Amino acid sequence: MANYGQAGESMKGGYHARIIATKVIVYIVCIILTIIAILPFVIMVFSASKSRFEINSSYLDWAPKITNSLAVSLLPSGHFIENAKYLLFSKALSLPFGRGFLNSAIIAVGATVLSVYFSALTAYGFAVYRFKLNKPLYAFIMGIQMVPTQVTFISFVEMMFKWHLSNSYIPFILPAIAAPSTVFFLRQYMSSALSVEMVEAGRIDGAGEFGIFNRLVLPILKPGMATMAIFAMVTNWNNFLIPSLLIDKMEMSTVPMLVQKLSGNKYSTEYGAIYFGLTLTAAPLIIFYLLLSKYIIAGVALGGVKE
Amino acid sequence: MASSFKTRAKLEKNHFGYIFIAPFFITYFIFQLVPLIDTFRFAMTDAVAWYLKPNQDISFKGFENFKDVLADPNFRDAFGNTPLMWIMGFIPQIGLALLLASWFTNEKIRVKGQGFFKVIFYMPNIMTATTIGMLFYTFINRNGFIHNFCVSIGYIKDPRYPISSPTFGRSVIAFINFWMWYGQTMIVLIAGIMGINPSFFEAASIDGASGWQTFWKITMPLVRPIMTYSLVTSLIGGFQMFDVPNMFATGSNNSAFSHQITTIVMYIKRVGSTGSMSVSSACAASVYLFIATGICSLVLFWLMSDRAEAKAKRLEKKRAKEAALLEGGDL
Amino acid sequence: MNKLKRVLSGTLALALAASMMTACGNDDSSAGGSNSGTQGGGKDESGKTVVKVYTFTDETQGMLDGFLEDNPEFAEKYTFDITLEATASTYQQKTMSALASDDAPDLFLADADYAKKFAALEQTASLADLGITIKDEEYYSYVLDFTTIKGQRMALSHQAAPGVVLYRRDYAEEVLGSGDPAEVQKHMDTWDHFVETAEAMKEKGYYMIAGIDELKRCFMNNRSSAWVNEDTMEYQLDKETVSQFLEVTKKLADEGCTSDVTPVQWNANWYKGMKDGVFCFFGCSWYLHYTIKPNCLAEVSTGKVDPKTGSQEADEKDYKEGNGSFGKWGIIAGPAPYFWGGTWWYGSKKCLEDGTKDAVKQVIEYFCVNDDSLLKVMQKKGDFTSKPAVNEKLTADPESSTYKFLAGQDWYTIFREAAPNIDTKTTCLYDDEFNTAVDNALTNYITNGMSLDDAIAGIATEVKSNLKDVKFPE
Repeated sequence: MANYGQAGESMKGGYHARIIATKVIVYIVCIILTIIAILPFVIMVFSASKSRFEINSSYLDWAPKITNSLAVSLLPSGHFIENAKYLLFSKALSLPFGRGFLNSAIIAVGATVLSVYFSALTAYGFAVYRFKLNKPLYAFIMGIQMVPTQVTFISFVEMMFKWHLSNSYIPFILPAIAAPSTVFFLRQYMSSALSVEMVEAGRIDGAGEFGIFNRLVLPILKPGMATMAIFAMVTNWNNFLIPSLLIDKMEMSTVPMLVQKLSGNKYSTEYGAIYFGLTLTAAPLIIFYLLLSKYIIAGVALGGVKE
Repeated sequence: MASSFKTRAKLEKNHFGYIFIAPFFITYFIFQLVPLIDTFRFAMTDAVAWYLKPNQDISFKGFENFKDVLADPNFRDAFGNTPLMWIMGFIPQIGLALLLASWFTNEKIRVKGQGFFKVIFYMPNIMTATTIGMLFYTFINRNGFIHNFCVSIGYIKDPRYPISSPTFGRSVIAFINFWMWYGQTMIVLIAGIMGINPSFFEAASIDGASGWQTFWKITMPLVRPIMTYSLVTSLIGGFQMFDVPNMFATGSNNSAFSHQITTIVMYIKRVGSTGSMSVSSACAASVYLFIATGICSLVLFWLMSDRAEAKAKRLEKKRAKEAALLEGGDL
Repeated sequence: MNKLKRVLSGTLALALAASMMTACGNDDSSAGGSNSGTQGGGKDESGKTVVKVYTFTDETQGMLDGFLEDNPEFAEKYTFDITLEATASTYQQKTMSALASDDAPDLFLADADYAKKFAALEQTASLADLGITIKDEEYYSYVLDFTTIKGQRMALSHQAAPGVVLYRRDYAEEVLGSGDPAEVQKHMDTWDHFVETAEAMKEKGYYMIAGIDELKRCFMNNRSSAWVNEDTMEYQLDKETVSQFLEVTKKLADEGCTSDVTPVQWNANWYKGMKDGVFCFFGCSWYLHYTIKPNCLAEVSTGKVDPKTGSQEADEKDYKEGNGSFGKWGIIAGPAPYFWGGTWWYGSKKCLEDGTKDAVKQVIEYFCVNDDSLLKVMQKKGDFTSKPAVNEKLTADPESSTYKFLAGQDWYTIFREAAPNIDTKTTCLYDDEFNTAVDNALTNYITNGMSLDDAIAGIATEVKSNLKDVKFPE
């Protein structure tokens, strides 16, 4: 027994050394990954401050040959305002980013509100009422979770054109009412947060069914709905494929469409302005994310991001 | 008295269930089910885009479109590219996520600043994919810093040439996918590992198992269902890949380069909205995409079904028993 | 949770506020901004009738501004709402879908690559529908043939775009011994001479051309047939010309005579070559004043942007010798005759019904029919018109920047000689799609090591996917 203890002690010494070594490796890897995660954005911001000549032709004498290209990209310059003006006001580019943000916000907020409210309503319907088709219909929702919109986008777009809904936001906002994965998530959430007794109590107080839902149930579901709202917001803000087919007016374009126009504009070689445009589209999301990161990370952990 | 009132109330109110779920099903029917049926319907015809010929006579073609699409080398390329780029990104993604997750949950290492690292690693995931695509495209484009780097290390002998290895385009897309998603997978796996009963780890620790052994013998088998879930949802997502490679292809003036990164959705969009705007062929390709996605989903449901759960539970029990035995033996 | 609420509502408020501010700033520069939401034929807030215009080029805005200045009565009654989309494939899809919608454009424009496609659309009104009468013999025949469907004239172009070669006089002087156009033409009159000149340029450290797509238009216009036979819808390949094109270009690329080994038209390095380092560019009439002249400048009035007009284009005073390569260019016919583009104007069937028919008619007549206005517009731009008689009256003004750009050469002579030779035998509905496929073949052959036969066969494979109405040989 004594022997065993000694072996344990000596093992412990080597063990500690190993833990420290592992720790060092862990931190090195994490720091490298941090750099990889941030570097593209840093280059983007710095390049946004350069004139087209600086982007194309600068060279640093002091930097080693191999790292020169990177070092050049990481050098800020003073043309930020100039690029901003060119991007927003010049005849050649003139992309209405202000309108773009507003348009994306309208779509994102509209779709988010509808999807979260009606998903909660649907989930509540399944959770509280024992109607005949409850189980099969819920199974149906589980099943359709896995059919992504990309499978049907061509005929969806056809249908919208036929209904004269091109250049309208209805095709991006209204369908959000049917969000199977949000229903699924909120149904799960309800099973832990909601008690049937509470609904019964509401009924005894004489509240109507919708009154109970709106006044008693919704407040309880708020945390779960907020989690879903964040992801719905981001997904809809970033939505690109279908808007790019249905919207053709510059002033109705969303942010991702304007990004595409940055590259699609063949008359422009203003890379500084292009980087500025990218920075402009990335900045609000980064701020939004950093402010809400706690909730977003928690939401991801709950498996909420699965579409 | 009270209980009979309750039952009666329930009976009376249960029809409200249909009202509550009606908006969902009406919307689903109009905006998703009808287009889904249309996709199958159009695929059997010779329809072109409605706006090209608003008053066209559509005739039935049977399965001809399906044969044509399958015989089209561009479709086959797209159908090969898409899972290829996905797997090239997914392997490092799940590997790194697993490594980080095991580090971050390791009681002995106790990584400080975990919250910070999680936030940073997840950040690329919420960014607009078109922005990411455009950004990386400017890096590899001529005069971009990656192109210049390849020149300075001699990978590109003549700076007039583009980076044109047949795997380069795919590697870049795969890297972006990896870069955008490993943080997400890591967080999900951490949540999974944290959900494992701590007594397993305690038992292993008392037993003197090394970190490595604990990881392989305890952590891995127990997070396997979560990994499978990640794998299949990621594969389904991978089949829908569009925004980033599309950005590369529109930005790129190297058409052969854009060829190797064409995905199924890009192919569908091209067939349906350019040239002769053959919506019918595009729909036939969509049906293939539907089938591919459907098979993935079925696999997922099969794996996630009670059977898999029961298996995991059995495993858990077995480990617990073993752990208990070991514990006992030690005493 | 409170923080979450605050952030979510704060984000929304910020997004709204930011958009309001920027949207206001934008109103001045985007002419269509104030009319958004009004359909063609509807009234804007000042009671003017809105004419909806779809275009692929930012030139249109300036042209229509000039038109309004010149026609004050028109400007009192109508206002233009212009939608610009510069990417060719996107522009086609957007215009076609808009034409089928309630909110269709009244007036729309097309580039040569898809001019025929647009002429064949169901929603395009013919010139007769619009009440425009023209005398066919007054135009270069290709301008009309291009957009004639079943004997009906569907559109008109204000330009003819004969192809030429623009070259650097200073490099020619140094390498070939003379910068004179007649002398230089002798070194560029056949493809063999062209390659020899390229090699000589290389010796002195100059690139002959910019990218590998530079010669595409010139070769493609000299095929014996169009890609698609219009009657039978069969795919036709002039393998000899296409192979010659690929081989000549590969030779130039391999020997280091191109500045880039990618297609670079409309990309940064193309413009860079105009400033320095590249000997010649294959351009045309509009290209001269619209593309190469402004882009040869190294500096543009310190890049100041006027937020009111949003102009960062070169100012007249920037056009002076010593700024980039300005004043060092010459113009010759080159190895083979060809053409490049044109801008066709179409009225939609919508304009016949919504009360903008007269407006559309007036605009098209102003730019494409009336000799006086056509002459005035094109003389000012330094462009070349679709009517030979008007072109006779165009004179190179020694005071103009284009004249100085070409070191005093009269470019009209060369255009007048080239224009009547243009024909439409090499054009089809799907030229835009085929041009992309040819780029593909180029890259495959030159940088991806594919064999010549495979690269050429790849053209059909490439377009087969989205050209379902074309018959390809098995």
